[in-house]
Amino acid sequence: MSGLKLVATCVLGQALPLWLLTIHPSAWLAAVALCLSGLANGIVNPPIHSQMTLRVPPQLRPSVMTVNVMIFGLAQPLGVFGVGPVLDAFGPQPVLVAFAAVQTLAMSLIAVSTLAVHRSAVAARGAQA
Amino acid sequence: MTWLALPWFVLVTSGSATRMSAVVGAELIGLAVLGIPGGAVLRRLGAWRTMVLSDAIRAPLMLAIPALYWAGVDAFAPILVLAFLLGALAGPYFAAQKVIVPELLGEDEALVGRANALFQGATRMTMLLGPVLGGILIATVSAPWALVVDAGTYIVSAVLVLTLVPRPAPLPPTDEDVGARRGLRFLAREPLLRLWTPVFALGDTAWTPSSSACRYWSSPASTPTRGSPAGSWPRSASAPSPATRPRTSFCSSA
Repeated sequence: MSGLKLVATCVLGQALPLWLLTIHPSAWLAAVALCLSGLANGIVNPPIHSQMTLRVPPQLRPSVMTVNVMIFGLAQPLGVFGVGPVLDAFGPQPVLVAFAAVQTLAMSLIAVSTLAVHRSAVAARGAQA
Repeated sequence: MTWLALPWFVLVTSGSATRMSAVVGAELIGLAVLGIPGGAVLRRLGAWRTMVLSDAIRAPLMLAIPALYWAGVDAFAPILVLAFLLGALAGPYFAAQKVIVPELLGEDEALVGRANALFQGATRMTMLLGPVLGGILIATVSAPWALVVDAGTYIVSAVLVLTLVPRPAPLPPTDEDVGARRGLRFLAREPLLRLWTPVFALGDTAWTPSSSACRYWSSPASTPTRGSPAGSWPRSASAPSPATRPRTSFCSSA
C-alpha cells in the first residue's frame, strides 16, 4: 500500500478512539483510548513524515523543515492558552469532547484531502502510461 | 530529559513556578525567533554538520546551568539566556534530523518510510524513557546532576553522529532562491502540504489541553461531590479550590 493510501485509510483511527475519553472518567478507559490512538498514530506517522520530507525539493528542504519544526514546536504549547478558565468553569468533560471533535474533524480533513491527492496522482500516472 | 530536568531544576532551586515558566518560555521564544534563521544555517552547513554542531554547542550550554548554580551565582537571567539559546539550537537540529534521512537513503518513498518508522520508534522510546530517567536522576542525585547527565547525552549524540552516521555529499549550489520565504510559499502552494501542515498543527495544539483535562480529573481534587452520581464528571460546582487545583500549563509536567 502506498504511503498516501495508508494515511488516507488509517489516519481517522487515531481520532475516533479519543471519544472514549468523553464517556466516563476512568483510568482504564483512558489507557485503552490512548493506546488505540497511539497504535494508529504509529502506523500513519512514518508515511506522514516521509511525505512531508519527500514532497519538498531537496534544495528547499532546509528552509521548509525548519519552518515545520518551528510550527509544530510552538503548536503544542499554544494549546494551553484558555484551557485553564474552561477547566475551572466547566470541568474536564467539555475540554475532552472538544478535543475528540477537533481531532475527528482534523483527521477527516486529512483523510479526504490525502485521498484526493492520491487519486489525482494515480490518474496522472495512468494518463502518462 | 531536558523538558523535565530544566524546569524542575529552576523550580527546586528558585522555589518559583513563575521563574520555571519563564525558562520554558525562553526556550520556546528561542525556537520561534531563531527558527527561520536556523534554516539558513542548516542550508549552509548541511544536515550532518548541523546535527554535530548543535549537540556540541548545547552540551556546554546545558552544563553551564548547574555550574552557575554550584558557583553560587544568582543565575536566573543567565539561565534565561541559556534556555533561549538551547531552544534556538533545537530548531535547526530537529530540521536536520528530517533532512538527513533522504540525503542518506535517496528519494525512494518505501525506503525513507521504513527509516522513518525506525526513527519514530527510537524517538518515541526516548520520549518515554527520557522523562522517567530524568525523574529518577532528580530523585536520586539531585536536579543539578540530572542536568549534567543531560549535557552528557548531547556529547554522546554528537559522538554517535560523528562516528556512525556517514556524511552525505553536499547539495550542489544553486542560484535559485531557497530561503525561508520561498519555503513558506512552497508550503502554501503544495497541494498536500498546504492542508497537512496547518491541520496537523491544529491536531497537535489540541493534545495539550486534553492532557491537562486528563490530569485534572485524575487529581484527587476533582472527585465528585457528595450527592453527585459516583464516577460522574466533576462540574464547576465541585471544582477544586485554587490551592489544590492542578496547574494546567504544560510547564506543570515538571
